Amino acid sequence: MGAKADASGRQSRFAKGTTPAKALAQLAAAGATGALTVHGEPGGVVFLREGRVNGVESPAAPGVDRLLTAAGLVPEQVWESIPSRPVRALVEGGHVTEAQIELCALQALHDAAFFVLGTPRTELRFDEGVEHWLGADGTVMSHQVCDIVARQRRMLDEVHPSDATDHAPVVPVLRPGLDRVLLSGLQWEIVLHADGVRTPQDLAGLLGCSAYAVTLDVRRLAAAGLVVQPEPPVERAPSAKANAAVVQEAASLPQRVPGTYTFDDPPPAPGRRQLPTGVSALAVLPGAIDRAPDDSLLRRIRTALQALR
Amino acid sequence: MTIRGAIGASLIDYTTGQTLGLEGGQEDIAPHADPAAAALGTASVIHAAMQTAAYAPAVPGDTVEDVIISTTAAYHLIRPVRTTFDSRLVLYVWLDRNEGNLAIARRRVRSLADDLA
Repeated sequence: MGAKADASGRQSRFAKGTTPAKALAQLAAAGATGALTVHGEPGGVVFLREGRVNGVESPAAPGVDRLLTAAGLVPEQVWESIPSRPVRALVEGGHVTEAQIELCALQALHDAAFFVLGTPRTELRFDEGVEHWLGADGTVMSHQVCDIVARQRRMLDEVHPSDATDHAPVVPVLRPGLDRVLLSGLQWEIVLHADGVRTPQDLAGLLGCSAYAVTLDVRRLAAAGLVVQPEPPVERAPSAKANAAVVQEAASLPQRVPGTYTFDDPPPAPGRRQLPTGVSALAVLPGAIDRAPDDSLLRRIRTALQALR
Repeated sequence: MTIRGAIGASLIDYTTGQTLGLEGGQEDIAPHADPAAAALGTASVIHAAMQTAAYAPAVPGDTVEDVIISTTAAYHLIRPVRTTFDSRLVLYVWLDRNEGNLAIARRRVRSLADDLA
């Protein structure tokens, strides 16, 4: 159960079956400083400073660097020349205010924690003394981090009690079958950037926003029937060959000129509502909605209205 | 705290309803025995205001600026903090009705929110 220090005394491993949350509680109780690496899918690292959480990183969630760069606050090349523990340098360089970087670091911490602490079947390792690269001042009690993760999970299930869309490619339905669709600003961005391959976490990295917020909004889309419920996960082999095939498939699709509509387009297969793999909604929507309005119908309505006067 | 009549204030992430404690900031105080529940309530109020079609923008660029709830004893000010980087934050201030001045408090909350952004 307990953390066993190995010969060097700087690295500890945990008993099999220890959850990340449990390991975190042990380390917090011991007032540890260092990095708890969580191996698994998606996995990540929790950084502790004297028993309190100072930063969390996960491949599933965009880090502070991505968030600030996507917001246009810190140009990409600044990160290449920045010293270690760059908070001071970023504030002094006039890129961000102290409040901004502190808030951004906190948000990134909670965002990544959701994915790291939810990683199933993990292998854990603790490296003493290793600090988070950012060097932010803010710390959060470890039990608070765990409570918030539990609440985040609860909220997802309240919105829509299926996790099928959480890590699968986001595929918006082509025809919502609703009279009106109301989207949040984030959902709009999600739908525009969904290309049939990107998962909610990929989209968060691309857009530079909270991966949890995207995951939550995709569940809302799923609850409203606006994204395709993915099939149970199948092993995708992301070989170069497969990718080339996808590109070729996309290239061989009939090209529509925006504003035109041809009757040569093959009628959609019945029940097929999802976008072909690798095709963004943007590429398909113009053709789908730019059908010229039926003039004669409009004229008939106008004539009828005039007759009423 | 520099807002006259303010009893408590907190910064809340309205996606999750969590209170973000800020170093050097005030203690999180809420008009409730359970601050976590109060933060969750605040999150649902702002969520309702932002998602309800009746309050949808009337002109381009129109957006929810703040939500004010008045009770016989207090005012509750909830204001979205629009940071440059992606976030979903609101500033919440609980104001004593006899001590505080709503108009002044609103202005102060606005400048506080702008400082954070």
